[in-house]
Amino acid sequence: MIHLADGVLLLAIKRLNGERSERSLYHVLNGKRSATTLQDAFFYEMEPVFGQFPQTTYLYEAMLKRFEKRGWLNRKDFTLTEAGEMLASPEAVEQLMNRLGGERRDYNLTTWKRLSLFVQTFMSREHDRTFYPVQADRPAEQWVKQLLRFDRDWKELMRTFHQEIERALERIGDPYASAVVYRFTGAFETGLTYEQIAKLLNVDAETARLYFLAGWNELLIVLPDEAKLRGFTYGLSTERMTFSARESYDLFLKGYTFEQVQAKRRLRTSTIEDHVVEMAMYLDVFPLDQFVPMEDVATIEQLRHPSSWALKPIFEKMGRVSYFQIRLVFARLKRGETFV
Amino acid sequence: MYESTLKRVFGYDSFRTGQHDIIHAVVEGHDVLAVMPTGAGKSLTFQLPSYIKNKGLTVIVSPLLSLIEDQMQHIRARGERGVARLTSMESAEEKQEIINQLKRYRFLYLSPEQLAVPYVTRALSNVSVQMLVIDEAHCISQWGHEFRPEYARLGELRKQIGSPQCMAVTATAPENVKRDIIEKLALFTPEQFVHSANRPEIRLVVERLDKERKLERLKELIQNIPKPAVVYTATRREAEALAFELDDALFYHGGMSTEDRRLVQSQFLRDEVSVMVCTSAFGMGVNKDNVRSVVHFQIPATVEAYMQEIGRAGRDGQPAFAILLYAEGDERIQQFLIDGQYPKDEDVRMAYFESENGTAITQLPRLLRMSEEESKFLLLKQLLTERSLQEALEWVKERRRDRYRQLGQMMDYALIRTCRRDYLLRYFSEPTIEQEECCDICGEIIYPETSTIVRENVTEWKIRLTQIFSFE
Repeated sequence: MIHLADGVLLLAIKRLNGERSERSLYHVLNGKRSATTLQDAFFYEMEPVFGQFPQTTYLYEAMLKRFEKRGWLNRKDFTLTEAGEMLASPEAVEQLMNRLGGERRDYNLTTWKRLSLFVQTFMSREHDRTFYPVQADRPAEQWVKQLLRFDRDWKELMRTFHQEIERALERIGDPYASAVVYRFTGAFETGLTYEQIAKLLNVDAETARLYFLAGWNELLIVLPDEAKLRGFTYGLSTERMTFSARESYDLFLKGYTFEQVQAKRRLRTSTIEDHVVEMAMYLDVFPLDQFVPMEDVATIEQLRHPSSWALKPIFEKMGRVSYFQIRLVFARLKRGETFV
Repeated sequence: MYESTLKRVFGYDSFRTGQHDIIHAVVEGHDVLAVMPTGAGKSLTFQLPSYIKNKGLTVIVSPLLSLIEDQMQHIRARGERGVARLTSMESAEEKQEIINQLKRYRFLYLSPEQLAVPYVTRALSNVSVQMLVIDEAHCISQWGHEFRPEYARLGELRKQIGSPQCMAVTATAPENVKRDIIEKLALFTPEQFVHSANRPEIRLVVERLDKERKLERLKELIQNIPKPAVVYTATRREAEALAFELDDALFYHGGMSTEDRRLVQSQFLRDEVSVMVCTSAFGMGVNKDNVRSVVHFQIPATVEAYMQEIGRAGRDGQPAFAILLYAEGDERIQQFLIDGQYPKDEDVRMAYFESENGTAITQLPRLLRMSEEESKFLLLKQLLTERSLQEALEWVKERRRDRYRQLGQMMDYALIRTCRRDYLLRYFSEPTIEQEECCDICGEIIYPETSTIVRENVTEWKIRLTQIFSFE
């Protein structure tokens, strides 16, 4: 049996590069929307696992203990042992992790709830079968109810949905495709639990869960823009930026200065700074020169060790720039920009 | 007399024991007090009359969201759309919409808190309420084991909505509780129905064996007993482990995601999987008629719990089996669970000491290393406001002793060498019943030949997807 899920978690630890703590990973896995955690996820390429392993501190601790006991993890500096590196290195692990997508305002999850409930509801109705809804989610229920009120040729649309799903999954391939398909519930077929899918694919249940998450995420990515299935994402956003940062951003767009935004929102300087860092991380275009003199930007870039995102060495060497400014420059560098 | 409605609306051919008489009393307009064990078909007795009388709203007060949710699900599943609920789950707009359209509904479920909201009470007093049903009516009594303060106002609220006909239903009610219900709800010379706790269709079996043999025996047993079957265990971990060992089995417990829980329930309801291994979290309102066997891999904490759990077998009235596997020392796990539900003496002392010294109650969980939501802490919080330290210590000791005594009674069931049915009935103060096919003491138990259900093979994902989207 293959335990790729362990590999994914080990790879996550590896990406942290010994520069972040056990708590940092914990918050990333739980999808905590704090400035530090968002930055950790961004800089250490952890966005795919962001919020994808919600767990209690107790279980997290148990997991780390297990990794240590098996000889995969050095807990002192939070790095992998050689054996741990081996498990984190297969391409299948990297592929699985990168496909997870990460949590973005529950975009993937909400879309899944809507579609799976819709398919179950519609097919059960067509076949005149009573059913037990697989989703116990009020908003999804309401959404499906509303949708069915529209007068459409639903049967025809269902055929289209079927084709679109099939084509997308053909491109993604197994085991992802199976993990997604077997979660669907129809009029006669009840979806499988992760344990059952695990048996089918000869993996552990946690890996089966990740295959589903990854497969579903990929499906939403490879789906053509004009696909009818896109309707199920109606009103949802994939934005990674927090709502609060978004609010500040909108004020900046209206031409307010940093101080004006702060005064208007009655927030601390550090909070607005965090918002600006989010903008630097997530926006395609960002006016870096408004926050950091361009010669400092170049110096920071030159001083950075190519494999590290640690702020402190730069801060100590430069003296005159703030952590805030280093973060902004790092964010743009991470996005692939260069200033030298 | 009401069979045609039963067939037309509910799709059943005949009533279960006692249902007909209760329905008759309701249709005749009497106030009714019905004491029926879980699974005896309570809800049908207040739903069916609505279709006979066909006028006005039936208002059902129920204390648990999950019960409301579940009953609504079943009503809707049989195609009835005239059902709504008012609970803390609905938004203000949703509530308003329901209130505005009360006439459209046949059944309205609500929590006691919602009934007490003035505009709800007022709205109900302006429509014709055919009957007010109080589910879990024992909660109204201070004598009961589950007194709920929100229930105390129900009598007054009944008056405010125009004193409609009232039906009180509960699974357990000793004499004093019954008196309390009648008085507090002001039931007018109510017709009383008390159901026997006996389930004649269930054969009772206890197998005593060594701990090491249990798993092996369970595997054999699952091959031999008729299915669908439910296997009860004490912990989540054990449920998962056993499901892994058994063929065609799934596990179910409270730690799973809602989606997975629903998938498991749905597969079990549709006979797509034949064995369900679960903790006591499974069963609340699971209406599956054809469960043929209930196996207990661990001894439950009380006889009441045992009765409730085996009561999920044979609801269709066909023969079924309740098998308890007991190994000496098994009770320790229940003792451990009981101990975990009550704060230790030193915790009680510490909590009182800290709160006397002005420590805020919000600080206590951290100091006591308890979680804020765990029952142990909630209990402690309540004790702090209501009792002195000495009383609190005494109370906890008393409760714990009580629970141990109840566990002892359950163990007696496993250990006795006389008729097991007789023991259970005596426990519920009922007279002895003699029946053929009773228990392993009264005669040998032979499990009927069962044909194993052949599982369909795993299909390639494309075929499966086509099946799901097929209109054929």
